[in-house]
Amino acid sequence: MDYFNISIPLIAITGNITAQIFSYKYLLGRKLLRSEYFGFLWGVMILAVGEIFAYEGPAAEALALACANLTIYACLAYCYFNFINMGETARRIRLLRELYDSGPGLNKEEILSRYNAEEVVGLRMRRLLNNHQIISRGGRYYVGSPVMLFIAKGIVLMKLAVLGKKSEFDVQHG
Amino acid sequence: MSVLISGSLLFAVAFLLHLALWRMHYPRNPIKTLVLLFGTVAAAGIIFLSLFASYTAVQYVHIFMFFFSLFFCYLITYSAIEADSPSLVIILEVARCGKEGLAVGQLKESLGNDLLIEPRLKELVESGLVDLKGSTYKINGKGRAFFTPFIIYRKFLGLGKGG
Repeated sequence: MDYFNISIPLIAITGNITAQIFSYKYLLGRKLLRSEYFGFLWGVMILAVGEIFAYEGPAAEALALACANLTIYACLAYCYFNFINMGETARRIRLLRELYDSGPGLNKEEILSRYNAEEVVGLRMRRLLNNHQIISRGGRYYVGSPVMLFIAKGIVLMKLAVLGKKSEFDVQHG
Repeated sequence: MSVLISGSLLFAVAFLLHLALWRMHYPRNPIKTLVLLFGTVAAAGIIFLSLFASYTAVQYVHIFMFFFSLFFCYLITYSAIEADSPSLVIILEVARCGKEGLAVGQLKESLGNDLLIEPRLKELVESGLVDLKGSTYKINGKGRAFFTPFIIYRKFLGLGKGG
């Protein structure tokens, strides 16, 4: 193993970021989620090419190193994915933005006039409907793609395991 | 194989310590505590591996890249574990209604500013990113430093305010 081998996931994540930005601006009609998938896949291709160039036997050791690099790349890609999505959806980031733009600061009423629960729910409903994660029929909402539901249930399980409760507003158990 | 095994074991040890600590006493600043805990395990890991294993410098760098990439992944996920994501709450509520579906107006009644906005404002103050003087919230230097990468990225891509 040499320093080229351990730099492969860093090269791959650089490729991911470059491809994501380029595809968002010039290829995919400013579709953010699609550009994130595109960037991720581009990074995986760079990783694969890098691993082929860096290959040294025995095969079992090379495979283990490739798995380690794939894990590092996947984690870095996940961090980048979340960096983009935090900017897009996180309430704390939006609140910081409002305070950043305001200069002298804002009181609670001023903050809520700029950003409030109604806007939070409205934005999310639009996003969920646009991405077909929920569907609307006859004035009622139903689950569309099960992927988000699966993720939601996974997060609830992690809340139980780490925090001992299903919601931040529940009383802690255990 | 050594990178996968050593890195995974170190992460598993840190994670189990984290679960045990959270069960005994939920920390006042969980993010800072996670950073300290995983950093300490990493440091202890270096000492342990240097005494009982014969790795090269490159292997050490690789092991800690593996460990810290898993850690950053978990740190980001932790904010989703700690705070209820409105999108996931909506999905779970829709799923709970099953075949009847969720009425359009029903959500707005249950998700108000007291659940969605005020706890996040409080966290921004507690985490030291925003100062609260009297009734005025103001972003401080630490908050500006944290927020700047987001605003640079979003302005570069021509994205809106988000939220």
